[in-house]
Amino acid sequence: MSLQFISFVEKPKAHKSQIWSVRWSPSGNVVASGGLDNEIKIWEAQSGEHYRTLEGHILAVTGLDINPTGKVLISISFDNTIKRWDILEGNLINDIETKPGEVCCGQYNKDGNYFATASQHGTIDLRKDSNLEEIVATYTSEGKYGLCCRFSPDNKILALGTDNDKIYLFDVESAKVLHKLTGHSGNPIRCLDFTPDGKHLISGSDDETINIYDVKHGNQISKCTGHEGYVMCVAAASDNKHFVSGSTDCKIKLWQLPEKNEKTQVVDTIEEHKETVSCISWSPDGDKFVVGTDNLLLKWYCVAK
Amino acid sequence: MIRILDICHELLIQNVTATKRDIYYKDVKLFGNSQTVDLVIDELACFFQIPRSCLNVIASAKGLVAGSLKIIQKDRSILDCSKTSCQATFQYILSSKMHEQFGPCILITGKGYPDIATRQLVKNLSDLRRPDETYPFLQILGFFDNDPYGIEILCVYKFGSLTMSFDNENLATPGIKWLGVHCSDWKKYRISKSSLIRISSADRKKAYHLLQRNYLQAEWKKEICLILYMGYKAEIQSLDDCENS
Repeated sequence: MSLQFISFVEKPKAHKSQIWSVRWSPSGNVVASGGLDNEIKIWEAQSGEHYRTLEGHILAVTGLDINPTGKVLISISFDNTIKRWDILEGNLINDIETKPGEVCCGQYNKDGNYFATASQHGTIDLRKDSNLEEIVATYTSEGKYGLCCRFSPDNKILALGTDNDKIYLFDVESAKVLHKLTGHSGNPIRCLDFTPDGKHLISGSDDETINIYDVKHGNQISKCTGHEGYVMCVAAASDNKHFVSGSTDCKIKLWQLPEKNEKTQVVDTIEEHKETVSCISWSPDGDKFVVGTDNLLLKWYCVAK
Repeated sequence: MIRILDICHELLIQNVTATKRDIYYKDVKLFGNSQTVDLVIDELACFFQIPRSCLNVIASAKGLVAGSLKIIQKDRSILDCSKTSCQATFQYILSSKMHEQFGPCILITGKGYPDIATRQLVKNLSDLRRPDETYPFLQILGFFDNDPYGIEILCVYKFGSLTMSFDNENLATPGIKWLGVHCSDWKKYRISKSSLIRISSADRKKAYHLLQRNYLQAEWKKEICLILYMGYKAEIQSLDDCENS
């Protein structure tokens, strides 16, 4: 069974500068994007039509996420604020000030009641969606600079990727370190994602490789080579068998996870982009994804058999 | 402070100049360290709202200059800058004969954070106006390391230093343009990945600090954001290590 990409919507000049974060709403109806031009744009998920622009950040937007109902968006920026927006009305609900470097990326948990943020001190701060200022728990590591954080699909584990090749898996409840993973030759871990069944963790790094880890046992089961640049984003597909990645080599790759002792295979590669592919997000129904590039382009793909 | 006032008074009466270091050595026991002297002189200049040179305290020059420039000094002697000088990158750029290829031009370095003498020279050159149609004024192009400290040095040239902001009229060069090195140059000139250095916590702190400065133009802030986001910096010398030099 071979899979391949088909593009169905393209939005050139979607932003005025590099696009660093993109998220397909869990409710499926909209896609949000943000980046170096300080703006967050909301697009109709199927047609790519521009729905609205959320203005307010005064420096680059480095991360964003949408809650499970699809109504609330949280954005993170170098302007040292976390902003919480009503997507449909387009207004700012909360504006929280943070210290420089305190928040560099974040994610909602699957229930949408908590929001985890990674800090440049190598910690994850767990915040309540209803009161983002309040940090209810902090997960500390000896790692330098948290670059990315991810909830496991069952909300029980938080993964932190750091600047110096360490991935920490924390038990959310007890804050204990379950596993300390490594395997990218001392390089920064730029992106992480769990497979929907929570069994595997995928990591992308500046060493141009992607690692697959067994979450329960904390060991590396595969190393995926093929990219010729920093791996900027990885996103697991809903079938637990595939994932996509984007890189500074301007390519998007679709991979198939190994069964037993096989190697991870590249199923397809998109080579049409001229600039870094910085961010990727799957649709909730799992057969489409959207990417954002440094070339100011947003592009939608569906994966067909 | 009184002792320094006394020394400056003497300098002014005798119509001679001295560097801050000269003053420090006049009474090492009293001053303790040269920073004390630096601080007091700056405070005095600020208090009287005058440039330091009016106290007859001159900056001991740290910078270097070379190229198509001749300076007529106070004593009528001529300083010909077409002679070479010794700082490494400066020497390297000079030896590449870039100034002959793209000239006529003048190459100046402050060797890191520019001292007053260097900033004054750049400021004076940017203010020069000539009746010559071809070169009515000089373009000031700044070329720095691609890191937060390099960008701060650019800011010192453009806006003046934070500690001596009262004297910016004489020392700031608002027309300076930022030639590079920019993050977009990594791909443009195919700078090899091994030349890129991971930014440190000091770099990050400096970057966030610079981002707070409201007077920085948006394009420069974007560049700082890029350095923070990618997490790498590059020195001027990295251009030498390109895959297609």
